[in-house]
Amino acid sequence: MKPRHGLWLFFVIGAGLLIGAALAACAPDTSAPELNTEARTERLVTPTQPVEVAQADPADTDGPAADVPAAVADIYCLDCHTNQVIMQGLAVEEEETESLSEGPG
Amino acid sequence: MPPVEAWEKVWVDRETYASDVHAFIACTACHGGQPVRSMSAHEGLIADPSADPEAGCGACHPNIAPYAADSLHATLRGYDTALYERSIPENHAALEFMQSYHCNECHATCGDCHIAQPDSVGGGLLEGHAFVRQPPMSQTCTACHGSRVKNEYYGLNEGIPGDVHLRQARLACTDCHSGDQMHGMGEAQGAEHRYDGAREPQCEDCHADQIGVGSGILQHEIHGTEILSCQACHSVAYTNCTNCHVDRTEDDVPFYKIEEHSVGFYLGRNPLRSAERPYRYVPVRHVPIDPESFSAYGEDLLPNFLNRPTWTYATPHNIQRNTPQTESCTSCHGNADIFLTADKEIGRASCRERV
Repeated sequence: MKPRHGLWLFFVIGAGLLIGAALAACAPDTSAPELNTEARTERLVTPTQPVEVAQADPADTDGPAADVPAAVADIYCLDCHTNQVIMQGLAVEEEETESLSEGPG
Repeated sequence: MPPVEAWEKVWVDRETYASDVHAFIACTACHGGQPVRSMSAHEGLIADPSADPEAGCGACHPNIAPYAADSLHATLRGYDTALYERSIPENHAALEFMQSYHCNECHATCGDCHIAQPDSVGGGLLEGHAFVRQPPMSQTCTACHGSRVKNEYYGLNEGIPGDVHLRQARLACTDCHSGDQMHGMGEAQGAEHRYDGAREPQCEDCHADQIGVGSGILQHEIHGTEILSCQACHSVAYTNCTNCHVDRTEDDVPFYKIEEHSVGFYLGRNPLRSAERPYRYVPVRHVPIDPESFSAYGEDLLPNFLNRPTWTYATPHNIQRNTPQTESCTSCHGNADIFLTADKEIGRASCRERV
């Protein structure tokens, strides 16, 4: 019985590997170019002071108005626009006006 | 399409966007604005830098942006072609003014397909500002091409099945319509209308061995490739609209009214017969234009209304292998019901008024 059991195991593992390889070969190529995230971090985080966490009311936290490197300005943008709480707090839902249009358009 | 909340429309998904090559470009490099940490950062903001494709995207995509800027998607030149042919140059300014209310939201920028939903459906970032190489069909393509293409393709017209390419093959728009077509490149470069120039996409692209003589398919052997378009046999009933009128409220909110619309299938003589489209008979669709469609913007703006047919060449997006036309020879031969005949046109309210 032992040799037969080993043979079954061999076939099962072999079949599993073959199916896995076939699926991997058929999968769409969703790879993207490798990004140099280290370079990005260096480029963005250049100020000597750590960037403050975004405030609930950014109007109260005016930063420097001039001579700000683009990378720092970039952080200002992302501080707010990646913060869901701030975005939700500042968002103004547009009033939906009833359309007078009739027909499929 | 699920509604996008106001905050979500401008929320950048840090994790997703970090993996996008565009994340290497500073926000202000594209969007302008002010380098301050406050709401005044938005002064001078360019919400959609790709509204001018060459200025917004051309520096990195010089092989696409100039063409996209001149594409039908960006210019809506197809509408100009149709309207101007029915009009005279003296009326073009009034028509342009009308279009500024009723058409300009439909101009598709690069961002309207690759970053956000188009303005015509309220906008909003698609994937937290990550750039989407292949625009998602329901959020971008059919968001604009809704009332005809979407309803036909998805099977939303009551009692009419969706397109077999969706039902069985799950094909998205971009599986047939190439980037070149969308960007006004290659054969699509300089097109004046969507049916101008080469026939794209072509059924033959995928079904080459099933078409015309030599295909071994009896009906295809008999009808060849110059009598009927593929859609003549393989599409089913589609939307036809009549008498659209546009206007705007006192608050300048544009609106339209379509007097009549119905779902039907009609074979007619090919109004665009050419070497590219040699078919004698094709499905024809009634377009909603009316001599008085734009009367709110001036009198008699379409004095040459009859320069173009109101039943136009159509390629309905509801292809089926088996249709009422494919049931038997007598489905078409000797069956006047399936053809566009004068009595059907006279029967339409718009025509009765004019007669």
